[in-house]
Amino acid sequence: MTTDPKISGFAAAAIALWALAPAAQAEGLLNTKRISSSLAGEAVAAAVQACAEKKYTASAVLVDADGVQQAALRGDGTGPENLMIANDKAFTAVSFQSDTAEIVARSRNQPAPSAFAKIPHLVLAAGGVVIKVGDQVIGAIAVSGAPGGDNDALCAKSGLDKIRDRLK
Amino acid sequence: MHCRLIGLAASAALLVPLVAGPAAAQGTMKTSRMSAMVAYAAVSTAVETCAKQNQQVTAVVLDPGGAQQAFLRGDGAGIHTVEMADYKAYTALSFRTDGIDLVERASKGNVPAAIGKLPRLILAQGGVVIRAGEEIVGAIGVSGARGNNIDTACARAAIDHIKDQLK
Repeated sequence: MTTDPKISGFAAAAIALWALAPAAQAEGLLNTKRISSSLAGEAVAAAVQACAEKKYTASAVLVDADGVQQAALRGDGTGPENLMIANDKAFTAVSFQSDTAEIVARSRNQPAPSAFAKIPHLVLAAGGVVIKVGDQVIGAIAVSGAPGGDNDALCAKSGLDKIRDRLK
Repeated sequence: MHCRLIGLAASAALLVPLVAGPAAAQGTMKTSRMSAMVAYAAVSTAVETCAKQNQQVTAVVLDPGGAQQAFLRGDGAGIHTVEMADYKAYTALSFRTDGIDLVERASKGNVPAAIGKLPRLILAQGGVVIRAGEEIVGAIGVSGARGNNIDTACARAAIDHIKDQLK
């Protein structure tokens, strides 16, 4: 029996592709995860509280994997702009699947992605933290209002810590 | 003539302190707003109360100036509920009247002209004014429940939950 080397090449490629695609994708649907509403609420409340305990007035926003708000809380004594900035930091974090502090750090050595100058709601500012289950980004939480983006990020991480064990 | 002037002056002098409160006389007014944690308790209670009735809603709390204090989108709440909850809260706040009462008024032909003109005003139940005593300290809007004024019921349950903290 002879085998056309071209055909067997195609077959090998097809098998390789099939092996690469996860089962869900093969069926046309992706398995995604979404943070529950109650955890989303707890996270923003914990983030605002973490900042308040340090006497920082700050607001927090949690967005889903699509960058859409799930929960927002304006801290006591904050201006209305903090909520908008927190939203944009969270949006940026999910968009780039990366904490915004890392994006800021990278932009010191190389130019920031051109999208930052073009797309509304992308901001180059620390304080947005991605929320992951395994390798999958399922949302982001961000804080604005603390002195400096690093402090914002710490409060955001406190918010995430509050719910982390229940994200499965 | 003199008598009349004196009379006017006297009555004006009497009236002024009655009309203007002591705070206004100082150039500022004392106002109250909810703390962040009370605002959060309100939206989470509203979402939870509705979820227990198998109703997927979004809840928004606005401060007295109409700015957002707390926002929570319930599991499965529709896309439009995000804006509707805000509009409902804003409308209740702006008219100092619960949406359900505005709907009732409208059924008798009394629709405020601004509704239909200004983008954030909406004629719908689900927005409820939050008061501390007589003072309006904000409003809550709930959107997403199906029928029977359930949005309003969930909003009112939320206010019941926080009312002891509004002092």
